[in-house]
Amino acid sequence: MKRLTILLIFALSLAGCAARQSTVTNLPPGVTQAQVQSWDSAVANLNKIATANSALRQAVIQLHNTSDANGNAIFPSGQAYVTTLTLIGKIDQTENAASVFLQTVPNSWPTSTKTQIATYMSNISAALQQLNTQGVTGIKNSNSLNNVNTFISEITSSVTIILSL
Amino acid sequence: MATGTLALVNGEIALGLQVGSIIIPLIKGVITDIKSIVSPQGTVSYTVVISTDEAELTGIAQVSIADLVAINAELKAQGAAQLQVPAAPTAPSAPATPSTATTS
Repeated sequence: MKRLTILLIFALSLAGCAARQSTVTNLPPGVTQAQVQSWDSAVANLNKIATANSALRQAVIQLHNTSDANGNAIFPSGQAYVTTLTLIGKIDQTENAASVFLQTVPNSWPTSTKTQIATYMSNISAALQQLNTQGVTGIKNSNSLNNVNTFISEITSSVTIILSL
Repeated sequence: MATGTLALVNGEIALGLQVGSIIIPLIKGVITDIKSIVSPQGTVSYTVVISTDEAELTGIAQVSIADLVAINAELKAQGAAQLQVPAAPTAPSAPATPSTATTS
């Protein structure tokens, strides 16, 4: 018998959005639709944060390794570059902690979970604010800065959504 | 996605998620199960949601660790203090031999 195996690779947004717009069936006793959907939405948006932050990290390092017409790095070495890397890393640490935490509380969204996730999101918001004022200001090209700010905006949007759950 | 075409295939399917540059093997099951995930206005079973999200969370952890390793390499080159890298997560159960499109 011929057997077909296919690995479907979903863009995260596709897999995420599809599940979040669907009705969840076969819920265990005591688990509500709203609980699962809130948890599901938190996972989806945390995923968007992770993807955007990783893209931000790559963009920043690339700008550091790219020179302008005068041979100067678009994002030169210095305190702003170190601060930017450090803050992106802190977001990575926070999203890692949030993902580990969410795995420990599947299918539920009590106040304690919401509060803990809100704390993580506040930490990310603080890092983003510092990035804007002390980090990416070191980028010497306005177009490049705009591109970087796009990633920061994406992260901010997802943080806002999680905080609203 | 051509779910109609997939529905005609009488076989098993493996599902993976891509988080950044990392692909997380997810679940392996009948096509009708997988179809439910990509149906935008349909229903999805609780177990599929949980499996999908747990794999997603594992992917997030892996991406964050990969980022931190890359960041630490840059910080080291800058002579700056490096960041703590969390332990790697345990991956969810994976399909036997995932591939992009193979027949046998």
